[in-house]
Amino acid sequence: MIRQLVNRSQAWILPTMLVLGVMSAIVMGYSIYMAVRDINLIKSASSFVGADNFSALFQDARAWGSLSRTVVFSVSATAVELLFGLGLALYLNRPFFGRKLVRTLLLIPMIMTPVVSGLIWRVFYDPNNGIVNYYLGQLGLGDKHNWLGSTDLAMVSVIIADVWQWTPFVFLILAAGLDAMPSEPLEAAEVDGASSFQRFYHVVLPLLAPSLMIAFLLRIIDSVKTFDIIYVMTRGGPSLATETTNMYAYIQGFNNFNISYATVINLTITVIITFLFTTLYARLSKARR
Amino acid sequence: MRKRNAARSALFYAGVACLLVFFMVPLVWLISTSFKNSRDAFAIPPKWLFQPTLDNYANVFDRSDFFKAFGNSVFVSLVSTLLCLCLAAVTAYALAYFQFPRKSKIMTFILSSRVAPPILMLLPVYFISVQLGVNDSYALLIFMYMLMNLPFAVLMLVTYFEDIPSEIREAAFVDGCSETRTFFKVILPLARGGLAATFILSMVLAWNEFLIGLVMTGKMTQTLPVLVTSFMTFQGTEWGPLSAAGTFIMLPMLVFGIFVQKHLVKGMTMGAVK
Repeated sequence: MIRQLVNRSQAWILPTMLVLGVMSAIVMGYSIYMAVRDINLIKSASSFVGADNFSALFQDARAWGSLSRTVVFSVSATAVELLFGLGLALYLNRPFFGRKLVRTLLLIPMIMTPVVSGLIWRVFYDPNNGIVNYYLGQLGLGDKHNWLGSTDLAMVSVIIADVWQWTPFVFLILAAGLDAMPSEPLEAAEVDGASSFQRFYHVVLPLLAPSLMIAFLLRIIDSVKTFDIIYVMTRGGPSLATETTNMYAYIQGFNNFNISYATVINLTITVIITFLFTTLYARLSKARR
Repeated sequence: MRKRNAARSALFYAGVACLLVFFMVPLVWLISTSFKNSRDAFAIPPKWLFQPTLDNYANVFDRSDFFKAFGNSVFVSLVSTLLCLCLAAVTAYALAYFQFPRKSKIMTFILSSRVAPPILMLLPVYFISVQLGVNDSYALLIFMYMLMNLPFAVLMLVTYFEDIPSEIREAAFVDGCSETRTFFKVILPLARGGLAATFILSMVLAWNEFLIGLVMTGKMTQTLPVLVTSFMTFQGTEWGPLSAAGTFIMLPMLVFGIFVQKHLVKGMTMGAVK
């Protein structure tokens, strides 16, 4: 009976597991094969090089620079998105005329085609004809900023575009959390004479913690993978100022055709991401319990 | 007192208006630029009122590669989404209703394939496809998009199936339905809202996808997001046609997305948020 049950379940699970499992096996197997050889698609032959790619990676300042830029990008974009998203959710958490419409309109940045959004921001940031500089000039904040062209501002500019794209997502998660929040604890706190800050800090924030955790987790995982907007806005430039590890692996693999070396860069990121993910996931499930 | 309330609510609406301006300006700019002639497009100060023209659309629709790419995008995202949904529905049914060993491990495995960066998979697949000479083919692109959407589609559908009371499924068994019949005749019709939402969300994700398309497509299978970046050339960028093409690419997905907005967050958080 039990065996029959297992067999029955397996038949339903099988197709997906076969596709995902076989693909993962091929990807892992080939990645390891490629990592220990020096495959370059421009050269015709490749040979076994052992751990040379890994030792090259440890001496590759560009790779470590890209990793630190990935951390700067992901952490600051995620932090700003959480902060803005929380502010937005609290600000709009009241009945008002047009509430549904506002929520609908806020969906737009996250479903717009990212490549197109990146192109729009690129035009906005144009130092001579862009509307960002024009309106900043009108406000007396200077109209000569070279947003995407200077090493100081390029990263900030890309982060602003990412914040624009993903703050609504954080907002919607937190707004759903606020909607589902029971009203009794807040009322009890009010009766007990808690100030509005105390109510927020001691009642709302702890109750919102699971939603905040989910938003944080999904944003940090996906921001590490950000490719589209960086590719169309800067391609990692100027002078590597916005080159994240993802972008660097792309350039090594598909511009320089150093397939082996790109794989090694990738395997290293994935180990770091998986480590990040598993520790965070453990903490998240603890927080939800 | 009433005056103060009115002032406060005016202030509140002003805040809401500022927020909407920030989040909406890119879309409004894109759509309005697509109807501007080249002189108005980059006028400083920016022109928000102008004489509309359809030249940019005419220009884009004259390009044969645009229609080719449009057809490719429709074909690839539609077929990959349908395949993905078929696989995902069967798997999600088992994950939602059956008890079996290592179930939570399987869930974690599916979740982890959602977490892995796509470029990790792209390098070996690209290398193998070049070796076999099958890059720039529809079949491979469809397979890649199906693979990309499969993990989230499974996890999303599980939450919809779990919302259906298990008594309904048991009642079907009592009435003599087989497992397969119950799945097709009882569960799937009840979960059609969830199926539609999953369908639309994976359609949007495949339609908007850029990196896989950039690497895996050639002249023949190029999709719209890849084509759009080719409007940026060394001679400069044709912003007018580009904004028309951008508007054309985005509008169907915006309509779809707004249509399923209630399910969107649930889908994008894989059921963690209802």
